[in-house]
Amino acid sequence: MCRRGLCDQFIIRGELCLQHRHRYKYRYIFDIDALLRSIILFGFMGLLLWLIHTNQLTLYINPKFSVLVETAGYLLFPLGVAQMLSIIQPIPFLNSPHRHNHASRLLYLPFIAILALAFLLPNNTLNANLVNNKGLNSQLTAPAPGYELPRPLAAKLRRYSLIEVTDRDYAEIINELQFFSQEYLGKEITMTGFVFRPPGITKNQFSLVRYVIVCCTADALPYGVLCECKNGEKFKDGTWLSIKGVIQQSNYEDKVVPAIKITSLKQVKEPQTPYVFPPNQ
Amino acid sequence: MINFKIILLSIVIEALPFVLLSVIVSAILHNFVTEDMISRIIPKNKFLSIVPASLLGIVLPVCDCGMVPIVRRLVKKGVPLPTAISFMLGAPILNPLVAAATAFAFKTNTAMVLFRLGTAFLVACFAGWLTSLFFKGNELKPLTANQQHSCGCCGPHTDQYLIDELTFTGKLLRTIHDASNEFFEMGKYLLIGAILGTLAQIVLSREILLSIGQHPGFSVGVMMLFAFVISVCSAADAFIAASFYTSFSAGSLVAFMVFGPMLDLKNTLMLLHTFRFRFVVWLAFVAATLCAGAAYVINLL
Repeated sequence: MCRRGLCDQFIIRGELCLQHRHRYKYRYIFDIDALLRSIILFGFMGLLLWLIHTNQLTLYINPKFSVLVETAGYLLFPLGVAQMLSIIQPIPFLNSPHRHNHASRLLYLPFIAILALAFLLPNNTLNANLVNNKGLNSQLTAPAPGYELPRPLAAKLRRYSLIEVTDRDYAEIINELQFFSQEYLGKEITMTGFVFRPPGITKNQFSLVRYVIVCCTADALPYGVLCECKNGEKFKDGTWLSIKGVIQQSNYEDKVVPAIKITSLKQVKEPQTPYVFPPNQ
Repeated sequence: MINFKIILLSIVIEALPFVLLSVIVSAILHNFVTEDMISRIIPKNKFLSIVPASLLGIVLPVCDCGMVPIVRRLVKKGVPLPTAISFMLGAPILNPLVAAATAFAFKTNTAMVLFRLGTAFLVACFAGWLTSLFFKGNELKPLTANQQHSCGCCGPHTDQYLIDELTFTGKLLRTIHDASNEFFEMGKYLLIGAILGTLAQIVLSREILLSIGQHPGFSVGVMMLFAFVISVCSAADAFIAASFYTSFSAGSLVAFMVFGPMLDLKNTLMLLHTFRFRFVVWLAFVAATLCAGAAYVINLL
């Protein structure tokens, strides 16, 4: 309504009420909520774009989503600007100045906490502590599933005398070994992963594991193979190893399971992309 | 602590684009689409509109993270509650992306895909139908005093009739402003849900689950509870379910894959903020009962 209350037309602030020839007078209020909100919005924008441009996004989600995340980063920009513009608000004098009691400011806490967590804690990868919680594949799916597995790689792998496990084929090859190891006995294999000791193994055994991730690390599933080598106990859980070995069978908790007898190994740095993202989905 | 940070951030980063898109869609609906336009599209018959609504995901593949803001806006715009509920429950599962992911996770076992999609469709339709029987109003929470006042000093809480006065650019600016306000309104529940979900992931070990998962009836409840707390998105949960394949009954895995995308910690918090407490509890009960029932039948097959 215009100041004189004569016209009931809504007048956008700053405009002259043409009909009644008077101008609004303003006072300015400082909106702390808007300030906090714009900081948070720009914070999240910064976080997303920073993760993308430093190639750290793959520590959290499947790279196939990076376009989506980048779009989200850019979309946050206009939202942040909109909040920034309302930090200092002119309000007409006729409105009694009031603070917006929208909600307690405590509700910004989760946003700020997550930003702080993201920027202050070092970026790192899921460590071996979680393998037990998530359940290692070899302990869980030991009996072959009750349906027929598609085996796109089987024909190729059978021809090779040396199987090189790459990031791309990681999940497929581990599945092949787990369910059809008898077809590969005696073949050589190279692979990289981190050491994890499931309960019930012997002194010279450990599992070589990698996390397989479909969408984000919340759905990470550890996939691993049992390995055997002399002095295996000297590698701590979480140590990254590049190994070469021979596929054979071994005993684990009264079961015969596929295992790799290591012939040579070297300790390596954690790879740039520690997780495995299964392709073609 | 490191694992906590990584899982939490990954859930947030994964959900953020979807929530952002949905608050923007919601703000666009608010500023550019009138009630008249919506009522012209929606079939007059409440009952008949439930089926197409639950299948809307086929053309609008949305993630469950972003459903609540859109559903709230639709209901505010006059879409009947049962229709909106069917859309909300059905769309995150009944879409091509989830069907493909499920098929991939369960390899050649196409029965699981059919069970999952079929159960989701039935639950979405039945829940919508039951809603139309039990609830007449829109069940939205009444506005609190704070949200109601109209002071002309900032955009979002001025009334609907003012929108028509604005130019296109004015509407666009208001849309952006509304979207950022809604982002905060909904975002905090998403974040709190994500934090609780992450804690559950760290604390709940698979061995505990497996030890209770052998029981035919009990396993269904366990898997549904598990789906509720871990808050994994609907495209990925099939892979988690597949990893339980040999230890849990097929029905309990279907319950896991149907109930999780419909209701989890994140969106329940958002629902509680949007709808009346009584309605949310009722909806959770109905969805859980229908899922469990379907799972029981699948277990018998």
